[in-house]
Amino acid sequence: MAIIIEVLNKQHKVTERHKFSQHRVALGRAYDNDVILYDKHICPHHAELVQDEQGQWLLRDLASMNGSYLQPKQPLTEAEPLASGQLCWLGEQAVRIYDDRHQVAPAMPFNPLEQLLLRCGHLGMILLLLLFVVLEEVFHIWLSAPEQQQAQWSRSLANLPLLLLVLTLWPAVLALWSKINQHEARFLPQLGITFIGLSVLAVWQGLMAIFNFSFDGAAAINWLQEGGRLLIFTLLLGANFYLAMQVSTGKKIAMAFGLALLLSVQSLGLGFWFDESRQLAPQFDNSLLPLNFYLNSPVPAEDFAAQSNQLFETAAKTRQEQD
Amino acid sequence: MRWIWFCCCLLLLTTLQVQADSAEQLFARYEPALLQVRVLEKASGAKSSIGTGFVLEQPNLLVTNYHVVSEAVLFPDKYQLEYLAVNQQKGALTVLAVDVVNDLALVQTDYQPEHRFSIQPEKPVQGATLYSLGNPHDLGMILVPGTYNGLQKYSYYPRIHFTGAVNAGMSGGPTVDASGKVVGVNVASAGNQLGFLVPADALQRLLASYQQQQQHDADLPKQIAQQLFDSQQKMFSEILAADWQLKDFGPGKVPDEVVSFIRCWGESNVEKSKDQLKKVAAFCSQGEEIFLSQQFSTGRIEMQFEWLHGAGLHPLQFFNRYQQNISSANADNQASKEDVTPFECQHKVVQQANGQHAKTIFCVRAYRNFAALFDVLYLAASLDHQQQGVISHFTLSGVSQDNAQAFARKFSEAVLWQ
Repeated sequence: MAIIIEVLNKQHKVTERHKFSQHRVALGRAYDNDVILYDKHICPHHAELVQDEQGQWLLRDLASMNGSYLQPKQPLTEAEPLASGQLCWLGEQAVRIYDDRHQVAPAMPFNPLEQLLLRCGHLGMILLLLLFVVLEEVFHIWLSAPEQQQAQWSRSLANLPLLLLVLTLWPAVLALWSKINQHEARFLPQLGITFIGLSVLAVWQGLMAIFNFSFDGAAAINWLQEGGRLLIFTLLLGANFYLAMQVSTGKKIAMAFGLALLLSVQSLGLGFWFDESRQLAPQFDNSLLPLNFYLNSPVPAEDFAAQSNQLFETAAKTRQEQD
Repeated sequence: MRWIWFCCCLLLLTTLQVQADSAEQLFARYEPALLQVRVLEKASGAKSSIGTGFVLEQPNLLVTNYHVVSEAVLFPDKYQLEYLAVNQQKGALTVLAVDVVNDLALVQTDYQPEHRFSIQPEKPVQGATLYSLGNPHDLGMILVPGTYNGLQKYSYYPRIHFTGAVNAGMSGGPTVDASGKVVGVNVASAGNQLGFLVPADALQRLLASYQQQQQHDADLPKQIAQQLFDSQQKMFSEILAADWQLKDFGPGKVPDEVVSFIRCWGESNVEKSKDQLKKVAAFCSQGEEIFLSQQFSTGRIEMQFEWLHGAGLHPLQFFNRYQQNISSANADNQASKEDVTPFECQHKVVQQANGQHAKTIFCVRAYRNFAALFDVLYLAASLDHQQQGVISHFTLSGVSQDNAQAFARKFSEAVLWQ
């Protein structure tokens, strides 16, 4: 019966895998060992694995400086039997021992969601989305700085590469995280997902600006806008985390939703609730667009005047509640 | 010839002497009838503000400004009143009646000076020498000579224009003529020798109404609410009855100085600015406020018109700038959240009877302590053009629902825009 030894890193990811058919396997830093380890706390001849007459494998510490362990903080004093799949430590170095009859998990089918997300790494699409995000940004600069004074334009445009760099930072961080944990960066898919999210967000905001004007800043539109933004953030971050992390799906969704909520609340402005002068100022919808963007039918002036009765009533009622 | 010249000099000196004597005598005679009025915070016992008051001959009451004693009237649990006489005598004061519109208060006192003030029933002549008495900045009682210059022009609430220094702390003190009779009560200053006095007839009206209803107990907040309501009723009946004169404004017409106490100004950036968005603005206001407390004033009317045009701008660019111009409308009177409810607003695109469209915003807040009075804000931004627009805006403070709605109707119909 052969023995398989997996050498693990600090995150317990496999870095080496060895298979032996002899009855004794020597482990240590010296070059005459069967498994040569390079952790500096391991002795040249640190420990050995031996098979007894019944075929049972035992771990024996060879009077090493830092000890060998099957349980944390309990250095081995004599040879201890091992079960297949058991984790043991030589000093700080973790190894896992299997016999060759150990069951492995069945094969995973291709995950359509993962395939789809990986396809977001298409370079042409990323460039197209990048162009869209840049154009959207340029449109906003054009909208708010129409003086065409050279200085202001060039200053705003000079900020664009910086903006793109910042936007690229997020997928880069995710890729780095993923690289450390899974040896797979998947930077382009992450970049693609991020830019899809930004583009959808931009379209959503534009659409909502028109809706908000058309429905006179109705509260429902406001909720729809915030809800939509929260959903877009959650989906974007969920997709990001799906590729970058190896935790359960529930945890990924919870993390994505939590972070999205944080982003939404932050954009709403927490200061609003604490600022008394803002609360005293009238809150009204000031959105103005050319009349062709108005999808609703305007209110006749008499109706508007009649509706103001309601305001006086509400204000008078609020006054009495406080008395 | 030399003798005549000498006699003239002598005569001049003696007349000066007589005048100086009379001011000195005046001060000596009436100083004991002047009191420093102190508002004391009950918790700390320290004075939170000071003013001046004077004791009347008939009836035996202390007169001062409402704004001097307002804290003790509105928050009797937190503040109390005390007087300090020239002879260092101290005692308590009780407010009996107030007139917030004319900023007057009648106060009961146990202080009995030998000489007291009486009211001059005649109006002084233009240029007459008056003496303002009071205790500026807690420095001690002083006398300030000045001249009577008639009633303040264009002011809705009558005020005597007194050319003489009226300083903080002199509020509530009397201004007397050469015979020592009260012609007005010190109330405000606009800096550099510009003082304002409440005319004596307002004081006489308050005394008359007080004596009429003396049997009633003094519910001061109710008195104040009634005075505010009556005052706005009177002011708005005048404004609403007036035939509003319009003036040309950009491509349309807007109301001008619709009544004598509403004054208008204008400005524009058309000539000087390189900005592609040209603005022409006109403001009209009745800027006199009724003081209610340190954080709360009312009684103002303000109208604003702005014509924006950006011929070189894309409609989307123009509307982006247009939107910024209506983002920060607010009330123009001071109020804290203890005084008023939050604003309730409606904002809709409205079609006028003549087919014009405007984004219209109408906001209302109620006064917490005075029933049936509101602050109102109206703003309309015309939408019928791609590269120009007119913003018409007004704010009213301390107004009834009927008056506010009638004013809004008259205003929105008056603004014409081709």
